[in-house]
Formats: sequence, C-alpha cells, structure tokens
Amino acid sequence: MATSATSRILFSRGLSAASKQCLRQFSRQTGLLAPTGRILIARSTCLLSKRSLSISSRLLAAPSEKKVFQRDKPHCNIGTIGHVDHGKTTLTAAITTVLSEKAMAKAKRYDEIDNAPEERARGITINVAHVEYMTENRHYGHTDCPGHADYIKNMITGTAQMDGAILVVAATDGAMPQTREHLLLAKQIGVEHIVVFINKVDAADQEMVELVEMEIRELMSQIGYDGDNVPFIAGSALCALEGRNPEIGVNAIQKLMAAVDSYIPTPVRDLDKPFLMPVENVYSIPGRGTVVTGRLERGVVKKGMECEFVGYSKSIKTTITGIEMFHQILEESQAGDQLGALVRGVKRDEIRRGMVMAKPGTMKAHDDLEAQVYVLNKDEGGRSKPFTSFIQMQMFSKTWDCAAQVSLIGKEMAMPGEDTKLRLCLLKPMVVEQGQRFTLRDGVLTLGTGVVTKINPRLKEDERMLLTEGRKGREKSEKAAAGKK
Amino acid sequence: MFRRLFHHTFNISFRTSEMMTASQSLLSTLRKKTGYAITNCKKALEMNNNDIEKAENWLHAQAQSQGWAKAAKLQNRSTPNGLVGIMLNTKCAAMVEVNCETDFVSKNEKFQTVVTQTTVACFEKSLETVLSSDVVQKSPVIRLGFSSEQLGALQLNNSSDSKLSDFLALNIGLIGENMAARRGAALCSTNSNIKFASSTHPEQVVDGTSLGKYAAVIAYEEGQVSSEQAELREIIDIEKLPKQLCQHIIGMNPQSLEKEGNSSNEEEAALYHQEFLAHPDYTVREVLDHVGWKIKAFLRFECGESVC
Repeated sequence: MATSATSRILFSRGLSAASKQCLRQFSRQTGLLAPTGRILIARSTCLLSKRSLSISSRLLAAPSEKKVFQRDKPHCNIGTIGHVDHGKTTLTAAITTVLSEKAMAKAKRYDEIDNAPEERARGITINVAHVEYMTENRHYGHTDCPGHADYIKNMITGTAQMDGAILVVAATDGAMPQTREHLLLAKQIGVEHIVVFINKVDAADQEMVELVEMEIRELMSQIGYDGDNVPFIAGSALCALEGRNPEIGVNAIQKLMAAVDSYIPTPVRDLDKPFLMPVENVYSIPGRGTVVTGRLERGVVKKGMECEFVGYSKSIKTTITGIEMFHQILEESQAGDQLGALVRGVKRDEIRRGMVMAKPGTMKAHDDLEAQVYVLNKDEGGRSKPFTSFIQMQMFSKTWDCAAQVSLIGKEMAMPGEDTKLRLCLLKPMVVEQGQRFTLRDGVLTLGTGVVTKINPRLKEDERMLLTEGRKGREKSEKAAAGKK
Repeated sequence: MFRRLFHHTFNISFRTSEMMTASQSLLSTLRKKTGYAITNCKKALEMNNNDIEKAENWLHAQAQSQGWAKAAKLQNRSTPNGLVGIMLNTKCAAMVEVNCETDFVSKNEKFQTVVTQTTVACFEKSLETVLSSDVVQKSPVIRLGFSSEQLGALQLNNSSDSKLSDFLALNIGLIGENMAARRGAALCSTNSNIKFASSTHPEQVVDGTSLGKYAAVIAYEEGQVSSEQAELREIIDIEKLPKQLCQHIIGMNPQSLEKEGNSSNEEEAALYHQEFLAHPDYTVREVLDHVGWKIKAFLRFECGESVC
C-alpha cells in the first residue's frame, strides 16, 4: 500500500528524468538497489504521511537527496571529552568505521570530523562535529566541542545536550593537567554517566594502562563520580581505524560501544513524564464551559484526568472533561499535540495565559532562582554594553513573562558574549523548575538566554519590598547605613 | 563485568610484551610525585635501574629539552584563548597577555602560574627601567610596551639564569598545548601624585597577580574638586571608585580619553564622554569632576583581541 501511495505521488507528477536520477542517487547513498530505494522512500513517506506530499515534491525538486531518518531505536546524545592529543577525533572516526561494517553508521574520516575552523558554525549554538551512528540497541548523536565555553553554551541553549560522555585518555600520558578540567566541566553541565576509553595502548604496556586506570578512578571519585564503578575499556582507536590488531582495535571499540549502551541510560522521553501544558489561551464556550488551549509539552492527557492550574500565586484543582484537537474529540493526547481541554467548574477569568495545566502536585511557582545564562553579544542581537547587578529585565519562559531583578553571582559585571551565573528574583511567583530554559529581554533587545540551575525558597516579604527599589536607592541606603556606623 | 572484559583484553594483547621492568609502585610513586607523562616516568626508571631519585633528576633534566621539542612541534597551532595578568605597586602597573589553545587550559593551575610568573617578570623589568631611567621624565606617566620576543628574553626572578621563553617551553611540555606570551604593557611614574588602579574580569587573584580574560589599568591624579553634585555625594563610594573606573574601561572599551573631533562616534569612544557604568545617569567626566580626579592614562587588554 505504501509503495503505491508514493508511486502515485511520483507518477502523478510524471516520473521525470530528475526523479529517476533522484532515486538512483538515493539508492547509491543508501547502498541499496533501485527498487528497494523506492520502497525506502515509500516507507518514509508513510511514516510522515501528512507531509508526504511536500517531502516527495522536495525529493523531486532537488537532485541531491537526503536519507529520511528512521525512528525505530531510542535516541541518546553522547560526546567525547579529553585532552587534544589523546585521540578524541580518531576514536570518533574509529567508532563510525567499526559500526559502518554492520551498516549502522557512515564511516567518517578523521579530517571529516575534525572540522576546519571556518566550517565551525558560529553564533549562539555551536554544533561542532555532529556525527550520528547506531548500535543494535540505540541511535546516537555524537558531539565534540572544542572548548569549555562551547560546552557551557550548548548546555544553556539546550543544543546537543549530552546524556553521557566518553572520556578519552592516552595510556602513554595518563591524566593530563586539563583532564581534571574536562571532568569538572562534565559534572558542571550535568553529565552523570561517563565511560572511559584508555587509548594508545599499542604504545604502552599493561602496567601503564593499570596505572592510568587507577589515576582516573581516583580523579573521578574526587570530582564526585562513582569512580570505582565507571567502566574502563582499553584499546587503540588508530588500530581500529586501520584494521590492525583486532584485540585492541575493532574488538575494543565494540566493547566500548557495549559499555556505552549499557552504562549510559536512555533519557526519559517527554512522553513518559507527568503531563504539563503551558496555557496559551482560555475561552469560554457557551453551554460547555471553559476551554484552555496550548501545546502539551510532556506526558499524556486523557479525558477524566485530575489536573491543576498553577501560576500567578494561584493554584486551582479540577478535572479534564474533554480533549479536542483540530475540532475533533480525542480520547488521549500526547506530548507535542496542540490541544484544547475542557475543564470542569472553572471560570474563564480564573485562568490566564502563563499558567500551566499539570498533573496535580508536580509543578510549583517560585520567585527566587539561580541560573546559568549566556549573554548574547552584539552580533547575536544582544547589547554591546555589559550589565551589572540590580538591573531589571523581563524574563520569558513557557507562555509567561515576568519582570525580574538580576544579580550577578561571583562577578561584578557580565560582558556580552560570556556565560555567567545569575540570581533572578521574580516580582511575582511563576511556574519554574530546574532545567527550564528562558530568555531575558530588556526593551526590544534579547539580552541573554539561560537555564534554571537551582530553586531557592520563596522570598520573604521584606526581600520582596527591596525588589522594587532600584540600584540608586540601594546605594543610598547602603551608604546611609555605613555613615551611621 | 567491565573490569573483567578489560583485563581479558590485556591478557591477550600483552602476553608477548616483555617490557615490564619498572615495578608498578615505583612508577606510580614517580608519576604522582612529578606529574610527568607516564611514558617518560617509565623510561626514567628503566634508564636509572629503578633508582627513584636518579630517575626524578633525569626527568627534570630532560623536561627542558623535551619542552622545547614539544614547543617546536606545536608552534603552528593557533592560541586564541588565555589570560591577562596584572601586577602593580605605587610606581608601576604592568600587564601581560599569555595565550593557550583551549579555555580548559586557561583554568589550569600550571598555566596560571605561567601567567603570574610572566607578569612578575614584566613588572620587575618595567620598574627597573623607570627607576634607572636617566632620561628626565617629561610626561608624568610613561608607557612601556613589550613584544612577544622582548617578553621571552626576560629573566625569571626566581632563578637567575632562566629565561622566560625556557619556562614557557617547559610548561608547553608539561601541559601539552601550545602557548605564547603575546604582549605586555606598563604604565609607570616616579611622580608620587600619580596613583594606579587595576581590575580584571572575571577577576581571580593568584600570588598577588590579578588574572582575567579582560584587564584594565588606570593612572590618575587626585586634585581639586571642580563641581560637586548633591546626588553623587549620596551614592559614590570613593574607595570603590578606582576599581569601578577600571571596570568601566573593560566594559565600555573607550579608545581615547577625550574626543578630538566633533563626530558622535568619537564621543562614544572617548572615556570622558561615556556614561559611567556604575552610575549610568552620569558621565565619567561628571563623576571625575565631582571627586576632583584626572585620569592621565589607561590601558586595556582583551584576551585574544586583534592588535593592529
């Protein structure tokens, strides 16, 4: 059926020379024969049935075609960390080479991964050397960022967030001075699971390898990892890449990937979390009641479920009596759906945009937060000047926005283009949780983007009063207090 | 389970290896003590019949030449990151920029020691130049500049026969990244009315040297108050002011003290005309007039910035 669907699309537009060429290219790329290639396209169009037409037409339009991503395995993001000369890039090349023999990756050469500086995407998202491959169990996205600041940026903006990492250490050198820095960073950006690959064992002996293992376990325990139980694999990425010494080459890479598969847990999918929907709009429908609309961010909502609306210092518990999407009734709605929910016994003016509809007890409003923020530079649309503490900014997150007083932690000013730790005091409590992303704006400019790292207890009344007092007022009262002493 | 896999690997791969001469505890002790690469520690023990003291001496002796070898190997790698260091007293304020490849290394203690040592060497040299200067000081504040070569030729103060470039090469060998002492600058004055202040951002102090990615130094003179402002009296903290002025220079990046032409671009880039970062309702001139100070000169370094 699927085949006919596509061929209908293909034929309806006439199987032109271009489309034939497209198919040929496609099959060359995927390494399959032409007829299978067609089926492949068909399968993919079937998967995305709604967009099949546009995809097919795109396939027809451009001669250089891309393979369609197949989502049949859980996805996991990992990255390599380690010293520059310890073989991160060689290891990445080796992994793709070994897996490509099982047609689970496209082999990448060293110089394809080691992007030239001019190829590096600049700007707020850095996505250096993004490689994909899969094992029997999972599909992986593999990142390799060049510097500390790049990892922090990625953590803040949420691009290429790592679920786990492979630490590469050369057996010939051992832990280098900056290996510690890399591990500290991994801990800071929340990478909890690390697998260690001891590289270059072809140039070392067993004693050295054991010593390196001992050192790294000790170092990792110091930093707060479970050093004793971290999996260690020793081998030579170069041997694997060149197909020499299979014991330390190909086999070691396979063992490494087996360890990655089993030690780094699959991230919990949004679908499996308690449900949450930021409210976008509220309507009152005569004869039916109040309907709230929004995009279900995570979880599953069913008719008859209990729910809670939180935000603007309010919390209202009620029941969902109906769900609709595109004016059609749904039994169940999943994360990602744009839906309308009919709620029982709540008036329209009790709910506002900016509140969330969540599983009762899962979400709370807070007004005192700590966050890691990347301050945009002028080229990225930010300010050209730095800012100092007690500046007031508008914080945007989910569907709400709220004035916030910003104070810097550990610095006296924040320069454009750098990351910094901030304390944000909201003028009104809003729904926030750890890991939530937001933007800070000042008038027409987007000043920065950040992620909430810590929630502090609610502000006391006198602290709240201080928020409205500007910087000048603070300085005056500080100076007056100092003068009295 | 992984440990077992791992040992299994090694039983296979090293069955034929006959090189196990350095006993593990010795190797491990030597490595812990010296921090040199494992291969080198092993070689040192083998060459010195497991005499740990001799091995250590051998390692130290080798480190310098190995550092130079490594430095030569890495010399073409670009060094966009690093730190600026500042040291000052009442007569002189010196500032240097030392670069490395990644910002991981700029957080490293060893690298920070390199920066502080370079700063100290540059500071001592500047002070010496000013104090021994036969030339009568024409302007109240003298500016000195150091090129990469001039910095490399400086003597380290802790050992008389060691040059800064040797020290840098030694550390390239230890840390494993290319590094360069890029530039240095100093403001000096023998006039006791001239005062110095500095700030770095993000600020970090190591052995009396301030380090950061950005740094600024000012030389200023206290004098007559020309126009006081009632509100400024209430908000200005005179002890914090010199540092706030340096922070302003870091943040606002002025190009000159006063504007020369009439274009508004110049006004934005002239320190006296800029809004003061700590009190944005006032210009730097208003604040300085209020306290009666005059800024004689300033220096600003941003790590990795292009220099014309």
